[in-house]
Amino acid sequence: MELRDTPEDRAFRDEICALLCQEEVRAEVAAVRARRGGEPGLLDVYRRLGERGYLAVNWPKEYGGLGGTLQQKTIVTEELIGHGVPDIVHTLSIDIVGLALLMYGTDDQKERLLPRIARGEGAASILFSEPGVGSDLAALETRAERDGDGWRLRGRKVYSMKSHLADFALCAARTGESDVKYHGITLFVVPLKTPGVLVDPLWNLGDERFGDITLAGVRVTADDIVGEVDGGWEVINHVLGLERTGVEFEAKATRWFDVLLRHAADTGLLEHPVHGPRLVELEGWVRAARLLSWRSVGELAEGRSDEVHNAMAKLLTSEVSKEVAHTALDLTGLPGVLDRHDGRAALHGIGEAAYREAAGLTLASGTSEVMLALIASTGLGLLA
Amino acid sequence: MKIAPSTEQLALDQALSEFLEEEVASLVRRMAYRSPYSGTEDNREVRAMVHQALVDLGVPRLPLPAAAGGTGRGQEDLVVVAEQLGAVLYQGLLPDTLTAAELLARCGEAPLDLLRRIGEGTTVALAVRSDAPGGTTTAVPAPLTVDRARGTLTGTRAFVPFAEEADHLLVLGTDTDGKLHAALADPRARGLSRRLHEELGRGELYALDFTDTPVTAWLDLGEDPAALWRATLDGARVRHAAQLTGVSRGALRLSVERARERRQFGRPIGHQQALALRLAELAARVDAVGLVVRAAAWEADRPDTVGAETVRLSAAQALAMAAQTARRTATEAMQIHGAYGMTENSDAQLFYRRAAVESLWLGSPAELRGEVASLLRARIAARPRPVVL
Repeated sequence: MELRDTPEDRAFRDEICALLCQEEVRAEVAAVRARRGGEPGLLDVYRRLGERGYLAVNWPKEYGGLGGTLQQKTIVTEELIGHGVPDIVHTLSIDIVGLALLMYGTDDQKERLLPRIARGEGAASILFSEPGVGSDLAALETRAERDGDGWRLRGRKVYSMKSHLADFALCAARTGESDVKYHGITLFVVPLKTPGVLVDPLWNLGDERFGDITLAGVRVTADDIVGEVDGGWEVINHVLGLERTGVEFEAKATRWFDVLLRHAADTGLLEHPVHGPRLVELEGWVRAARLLSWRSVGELAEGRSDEVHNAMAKLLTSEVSKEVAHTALDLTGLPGVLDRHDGRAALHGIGEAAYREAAGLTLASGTSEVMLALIASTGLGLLA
Repeated sequence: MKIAPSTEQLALDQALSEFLEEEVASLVRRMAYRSPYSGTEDNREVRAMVHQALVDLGVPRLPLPAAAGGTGRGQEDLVVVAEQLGAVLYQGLLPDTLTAAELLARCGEAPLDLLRRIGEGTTVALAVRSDAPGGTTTAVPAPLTVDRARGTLTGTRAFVPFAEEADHLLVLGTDTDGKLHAALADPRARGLSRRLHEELGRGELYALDFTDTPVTAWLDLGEDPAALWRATLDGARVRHAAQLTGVSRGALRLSVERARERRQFGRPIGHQQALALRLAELAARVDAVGLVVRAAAWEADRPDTVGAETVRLSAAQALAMAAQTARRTATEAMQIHGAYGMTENSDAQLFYRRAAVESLWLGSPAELRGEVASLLRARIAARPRPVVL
């Protein structure tokens, strides 16, 4: 074990911190936070990071990265979230869609799609979930119908984030029928700014809208396929599994807890007979969550990713985040429900926003129940 | 940051798990268990055999300085051993002996000869607590009257493990002058009487009465005896946290086996989600606690780099989490085993009993969290304020 960053990683973290502490960056983030009804899109801070190759630092140079390590990419995510910068565009574009393309995309797709998102000039989203399809993704109903040498996509996708501002999306659709429902699913790269795609907002509990996307016959070709025809399930499973290091969740738990703990220290609540021990207990689990994430990152970097370890990381990082958000409400009382637009909000409204965001963390990237079932079956040999 | 264990740690883990294969493990689980219903057989020979095997594996030499024939390895390696031993409910003199060795190595004019003998199998039991209200805390050793001129000490001690068969007693106590004293004593010395506690864990814990008992040696605890003891205790807490993580792993393993084998409603109970998902969550929590313990061990090995306060905070935090998780896991094991788990034959009740005793051994989770709260305050004050926009 080595608990510290390596000297190179330390220097890298310092550089990212310095960039995120620049006056212009802080002003931009503060402006986004202050805006009512708007939501953060492609922030200038992404471009600042992107033009230096930091946004997708672990990608090869030809695709806009620096050929850096997965640990460095993790540092970028931790620092973005630690500095209060909205991270969803980054997570979707780089960590999920970008990763899928990097691993399964053709050279042409990588050259065409990756550099723009690595530079922070474009974004990508995900079109997996449907009105009747969540955890049981293999039951999806969106169809890819043959049309000459290509396909036309028809169906409805929901709960997708950032599709209204992304250039393209990674979309799962059924290309073939099979008795085994995991066969016959294909992954396509779908342009979003085109008449065949309609993006409507689904307003929700969080600050950032879901998309309600109608695929009305948008045409795609063999050049848009990621992986094999009918072989999309393997890609989805692999990429989702890899993405479950839980880094963004541990970073949120750490961020929210830091703000809360400072508040508790400032107000004397750390000595409170009920709140004090609760905060101490939570500090331990925030610590544990981060270690689980870094274990998964280390294994992934060494090419021996463990799906049970990843499920443990995803499960506990998101559950701990939720506990932090709930504890924040208990500690702050009613001023904790005031949002950031109210001048009297406790924790500058960070607790209020965390409470709303936390509900989604144990749902995104595989629900806690799916993670538990994976640990129980693959890890413990139970359930079957 | 790198979480993976080193090659040496993996090798140590492998050696321990080979030694503790199922046949030995089932002996170890009951080698200090005194049941009033299954005869009063004395398992002292089994305990001696297990200790000798640990000596042969080089375990007591791990923390010793090279001058005493040791390998100078730190907590990071010792927690690997402690976790393996916890999983088989090991109960013996190794933990106290290791703590004594670390204290002795820190003393002025470290008794190299005794340290060397510890590496070869000599055992030490710690006499540091009393059973008076507040006396069970190890953070501040209980009161003791010392008479340096006559070389004797007087007072009571409780919860001393295996006081009858230990080679030495290491007695720590605070005299009326408020100063911490430490001495070695012969467990068979005159003026020393002992009584076996009757307790939940049904192990070998003794109450000792010292009346002008002669010591074999006073130990030189240096200029700040309290700080020396606290640093030693931090290491002991980290190792004990690892042992408790092992208790969790053992209880979880037992529960999973039971869930696969026990059939109700025509199928194994492990097919029920209600049960399987609870075990899955525990498995994740136990893994997480294991990492927190190893991180605390890493810090305990680097006090000059990370600072004594950080070592203390992490050790207390790791122990509180490991203790609570061990008790929770053992409680779950009882539930999964049903009424069978409550019978003498079942190991589930052994885990349940021992989780209670071990979870309080070096401070209850509540006591430990109290210590952490004040350390956290100091840490926050030293850190930059979070960016709030």
